[in-house]
Amino acid sequence: MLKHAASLCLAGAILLVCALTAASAFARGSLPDGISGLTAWSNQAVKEQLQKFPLLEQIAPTLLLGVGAKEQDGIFITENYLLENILPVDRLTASENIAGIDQFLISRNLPAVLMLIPTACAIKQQELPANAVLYNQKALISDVYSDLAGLVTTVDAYSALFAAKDQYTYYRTESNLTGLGGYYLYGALASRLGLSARPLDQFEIEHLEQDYYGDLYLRSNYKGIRPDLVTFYRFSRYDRQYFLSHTANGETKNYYSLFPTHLALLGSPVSALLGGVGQRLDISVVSPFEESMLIFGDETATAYLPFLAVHYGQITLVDLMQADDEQLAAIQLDDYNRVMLAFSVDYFINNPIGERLALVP
Amino acid sequence: MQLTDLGFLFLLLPVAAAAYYCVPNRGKPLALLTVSAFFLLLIDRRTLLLLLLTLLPDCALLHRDALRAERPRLLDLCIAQHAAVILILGLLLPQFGLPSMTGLSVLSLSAVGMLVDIRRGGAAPSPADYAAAVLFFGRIPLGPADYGERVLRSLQAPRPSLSGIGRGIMLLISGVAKQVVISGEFIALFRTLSHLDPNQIALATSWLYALCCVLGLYFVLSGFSDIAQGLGLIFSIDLPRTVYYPLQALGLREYVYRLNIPLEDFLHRMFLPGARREESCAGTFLVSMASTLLLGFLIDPTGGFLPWSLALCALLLLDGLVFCRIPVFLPPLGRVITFLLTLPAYLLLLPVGLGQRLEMFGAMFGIGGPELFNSTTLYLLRSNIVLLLIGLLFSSSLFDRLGRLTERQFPRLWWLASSAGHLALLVVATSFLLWNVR
Repeated sequence: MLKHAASLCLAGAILLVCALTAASAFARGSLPDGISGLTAWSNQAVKEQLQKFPLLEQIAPTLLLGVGAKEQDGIFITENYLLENILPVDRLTASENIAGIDQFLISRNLPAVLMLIPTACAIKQQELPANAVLYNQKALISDVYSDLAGLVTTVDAYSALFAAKDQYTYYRTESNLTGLGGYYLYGALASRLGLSARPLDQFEIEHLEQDYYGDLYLRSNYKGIRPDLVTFYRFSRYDRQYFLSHTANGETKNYYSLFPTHLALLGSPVSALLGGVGQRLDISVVSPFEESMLIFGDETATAYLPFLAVHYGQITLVDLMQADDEQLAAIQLDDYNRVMLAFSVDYFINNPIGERLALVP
Repeated sequence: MQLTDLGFLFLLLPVAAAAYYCVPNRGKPLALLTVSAFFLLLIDRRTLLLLLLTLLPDCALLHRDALRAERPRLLDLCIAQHAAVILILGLLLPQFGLPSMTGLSVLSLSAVGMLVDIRRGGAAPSPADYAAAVLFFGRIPLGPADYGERVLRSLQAPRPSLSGIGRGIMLLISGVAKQVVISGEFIALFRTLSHLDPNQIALATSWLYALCCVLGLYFVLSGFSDIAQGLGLIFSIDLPRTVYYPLQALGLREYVYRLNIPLEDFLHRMFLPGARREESCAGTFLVSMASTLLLGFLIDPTGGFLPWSLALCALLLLDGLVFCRIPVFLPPLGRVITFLLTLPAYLLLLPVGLGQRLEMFGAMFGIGGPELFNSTTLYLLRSNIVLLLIGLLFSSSLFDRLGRLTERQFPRLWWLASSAGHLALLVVATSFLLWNVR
């Protein structure tokens, strides 16, 4: 009798989830697109059903944390931060990228600026467990800079950010720099670009979202972390007019502000920062400055570009991995006064940047 | 689709099992065939198509009662077509970078096994029983082993029971938990270790790496075995376990045998039908080696596990020539020695060049003067100590024996504790699954 009851109990638990999932899917009118979509549909339907029990999702990270695993799925769970531990998928990518950049600069006889931006995990070391196994970002940056010495003007982003390691320079729940982090990068950049950095008090601070949870929060499922604050820094000393143009897959979207805040209502609050980073972003600024700059960069640009834009008439940001071959082939290097390569270390060690740069004429 | 998918476990499997039990016993083989074909379609439609094509002639001949021991040539032809499928599509094509077909070798090998049985005088089954026995999707995780006969017996005399289903669910839950909870964590640790700089490798790190590999692989294989057995029981089919605590084997032959018991049994039955497996002759050692090599190809058809299986074969050779002549006075010591002897072979699974693998191998034995311990090793040990202890504890037969003893002495207590424990495990495994599909 007892074994039947126990078996019924186990089978019942699974059947209950099955019945609830089916009922909920049918109530929503959600049906699979034929047999080929059945697996994805069933996974999604069950996932949505189980996510109605929020505690269930938190058992795995809490259990792992309880047994001492502070690094889960490549994310360090610390008291104040979720820090992504970056690792190269292919150890050769970094060296191939160095060779690719070298080739790109030599063949085009191009003076350029190179900035490798460390991720939070290298800067917020005080948050990490002692002796945590980390990728040595500082050594990588130093190696890359020494390999490309004489070809590029290098920017010491590491020291600038490390000096401010106790400040809110990185999001707690996302792998990107905050506006303040962007300002420190801008400071380091300005000195190498021959610009005079504007003091922070010339920028008006605006908070867009106080309870922002980024991608690491969603990945880790660990709920015991404070939300982030999404902040804009608007240049307020002199009047500037900005015109943003996003080009992706042949379509162009235009915005008349560096911070199209209406995008925050449609998606993530951080998409209001320059409208996000896509294939190609052109910023035209009505200002006394006419210099132009081409940046091959990644999403870290959303942090420092609002500051840098103050000094330029035209800035183009191209994400080498997102831009298609045609877009890269259409770039005219002669149209720009300066070229900058600015990547986070994570982006640099895990993407074939050199290979993509070769497509630029 | 994978057998650890949320959609499979909580939606498709319960629906399929419920439909299966709605069919009367005489129609069960056909129902199982339909269910298996449906799941194979979701797992890998190419496998299903190819199996249907190769099974069609067998079934047509069985229908005409033409597959009998008296007509060996016809049987040989049928065996040859399945063997060709295994060799060409299962083993050869993945070597050229073509995607392997999930379950193809496993299911084709079971067809070979059943046909060999008929050739040796066994009774020919009905086409529906034969096709259902070969195609049963739950056997895929068991690896290339022959269970046709057992599946056939279960199909011909089905004995569905609620307690059988209950046991099946328990095994399925523990299999999924082994895969997604324990093995998943070992794989994460393995990834961290494989990204260490060579100067971070201490002697203890290399041993930790090997331990992590062995435990990770054990829980993958053991998880597969439990999932297959569980799925079998859910559909009232009795399947054996494939892995039996290899890490506590007394000798090297026993070690490789316990990694996939039915595989070696199958090869033994095929090539040495009269001999006893325990005999220490050249033939039995060769079968053990062939089984190890085949297991390596099963785990990774592209040959990624080939160095590992070759290392185990080398150890088997050494065992046959030297070790088996040394008497074991203290069995527990023999188990520890076997475990330690096999550990270095797991370093060959390191996803780096041969040079680095050899460096790590050297560090394991102190060659090149590595430190005994360093801060990296201590950190990794400290943050994973519970995982390692759980891994070592559950890779021993302690809980299994305790469970069987309790079931014999106090069956009510066993059912109560076991169902409560498995319910808790289901919650934990589901949480990890949810975590993985984010």
